[in-house]
Amino acid sequence: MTVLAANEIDWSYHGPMFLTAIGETLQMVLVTLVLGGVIGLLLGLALYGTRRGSLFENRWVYGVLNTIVNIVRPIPFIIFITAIRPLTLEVIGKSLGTWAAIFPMTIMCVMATGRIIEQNLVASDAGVIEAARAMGASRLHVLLRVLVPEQLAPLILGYAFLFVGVLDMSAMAGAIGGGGLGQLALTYGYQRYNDYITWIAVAIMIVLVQVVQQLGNWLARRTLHR
Amino acid sequence: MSVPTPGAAPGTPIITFTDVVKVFGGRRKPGREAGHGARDAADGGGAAQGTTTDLRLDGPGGVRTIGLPATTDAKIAKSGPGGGAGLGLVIPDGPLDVSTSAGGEVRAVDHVTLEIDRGEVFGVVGYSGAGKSTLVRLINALERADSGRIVVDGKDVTALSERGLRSLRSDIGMVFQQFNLFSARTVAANVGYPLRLAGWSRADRRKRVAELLEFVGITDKARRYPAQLSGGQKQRVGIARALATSPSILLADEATSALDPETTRDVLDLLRKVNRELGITIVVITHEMSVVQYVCHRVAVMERGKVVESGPVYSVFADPQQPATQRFIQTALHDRPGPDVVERLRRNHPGRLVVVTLQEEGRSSIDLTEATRGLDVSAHVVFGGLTEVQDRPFGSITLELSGPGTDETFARLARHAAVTDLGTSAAPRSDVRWEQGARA
Repeated sequence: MTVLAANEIDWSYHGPMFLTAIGETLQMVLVTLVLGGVIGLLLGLALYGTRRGSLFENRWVYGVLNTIVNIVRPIPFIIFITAIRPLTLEVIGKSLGTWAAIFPMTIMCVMATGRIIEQNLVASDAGVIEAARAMGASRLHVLLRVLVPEQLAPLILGYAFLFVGVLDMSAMAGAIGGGGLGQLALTYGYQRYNDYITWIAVAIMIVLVQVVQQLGNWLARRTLHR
Repeated sequence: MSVPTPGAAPGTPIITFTDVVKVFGGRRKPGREAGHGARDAADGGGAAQGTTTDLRLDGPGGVRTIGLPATTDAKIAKSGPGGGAGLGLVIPDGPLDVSTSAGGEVRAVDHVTLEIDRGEVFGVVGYSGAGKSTLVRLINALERADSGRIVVDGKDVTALSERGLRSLRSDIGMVFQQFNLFSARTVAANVGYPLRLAGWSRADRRKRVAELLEFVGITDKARRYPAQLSGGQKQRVGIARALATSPSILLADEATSALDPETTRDVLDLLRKVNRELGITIVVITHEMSVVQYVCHRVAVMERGKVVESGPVYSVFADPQQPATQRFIQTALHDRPGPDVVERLRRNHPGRLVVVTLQEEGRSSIDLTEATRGLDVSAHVVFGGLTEVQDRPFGSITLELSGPGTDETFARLARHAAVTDLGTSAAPRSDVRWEQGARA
């Protein structure tokens, strides 16, 4: 075993470590985004649809959903992970490791997605809704087949924005042994006084964010016919 | 009295309003129809002209009432059922002319009884907030009436279920001021959308869309997106989309108000074509009397939720009964000198000023040769305008008559046209119509 002094990189030793960390990060982020994104989309549609003056106005349903989101969202993620540990244990079977991190991340992601979807739909053109209704479209049809396609570009950008948030959460997952770039930076960079490790982890995350944002922009441009 | 249209039986009502009332505000139920809250506000809320509106604040400290100046273009959105401290301000996009009652309620449509005949182009004219947008939305039940009965093509709209409404709506096309096209869909997909809703096959849709685009004259734009089109082209798409399912009624809500005059003319020509060639009944909502003049057979004038005057367009133009109607007609024609114009005319023309107006049943021209033949009189045209309403000559000219033959000339003119005597500079008389207008 090689003993390394601070601020030294041995690629034969650190390289595979980075690769594993990138893999874990991507696993956490992608699983969370897919699960949280889909469930969050439903939550967002429900939030938007039951808002006052909206298609399925229902103050009770909206009140309950809105309150849940408002309770969960402000909790700092690092606290949230530990706070719902018993639930994680119940659902995942363990409270440490990558999957144990994915569970709280997904819950947080659902809440954030719900809000982003709701906000983007609120910005839809009321006239378009009226036109579709005047043509005989059902309320559900208006919501799913008119409003979502109309707001697709901002929704895509919303998901790109979420990616950053989820990446941020994944870094904190290191605290419960979730692995990934965050944990690598904390244990090998911060705790061993090896700033290079931290900086490289940060650089990789920056590149990831850039790639995803570019992809989001490109997709949004393709769907935005303005 | 509507002008006969090919393929239509004139005189049979297709839309009937019987004592219809629609109230906004006050004890408003949760909105079942989303998507036009802001327009509700513009149509239904806010300050009445020339008065103050009471704004009720339901708060922890009880109910307080404050007065708002009449110029405040703000809709007071009361809190929902059950009260609470909710108070929202929605700023509508124009001046308002609505009636408010003591409880903060707004009667957007106030005991309206109206018949619209099959095959005619019917105009509803009024200022912003007069209730005309609400009135037209009662026809396809985007708004539900609070009382009264609305029968469309034999169906009682006020009694229809949600499912029944959808089939009704597929028989009523609607075009909007802001076009309301789907920005994420191409022109062809926009026009095909109502056909998808109606369950048409892809092949049938494609064929029908091609037909429609040709009818409105934008075949080359099928693959474009709405954002790539001009205003006039967008409205053509809107009209094609509204016609897709071959409706028997077309509702045009300020369809030309966002367009320039030339494009307006093109779109109005298209609406005339829709009415003439397809025999579709069109209800035109507008604040521009020139639109009524150009396309409508009959017209109803709305003011503060009420229909104050209605009839064949020519009759209404020739003999307006209400001050509001007169003001609207003047905005379209400018043929009759207002009090300020008369004032200026008198400075340069001391003789007797008379306004000669073409009549519905009278001659189609004003014969000055005949009126002055053999008389010692001079007749100068000092103001006026002649145009066409319903393809018939219409308008008035103002003459300055002087000399010994003035009285005889006046009498001759009065035989074939309506003549209003404004008197001379020395002995002025005022135009009774403007007097009425000023009083109101």
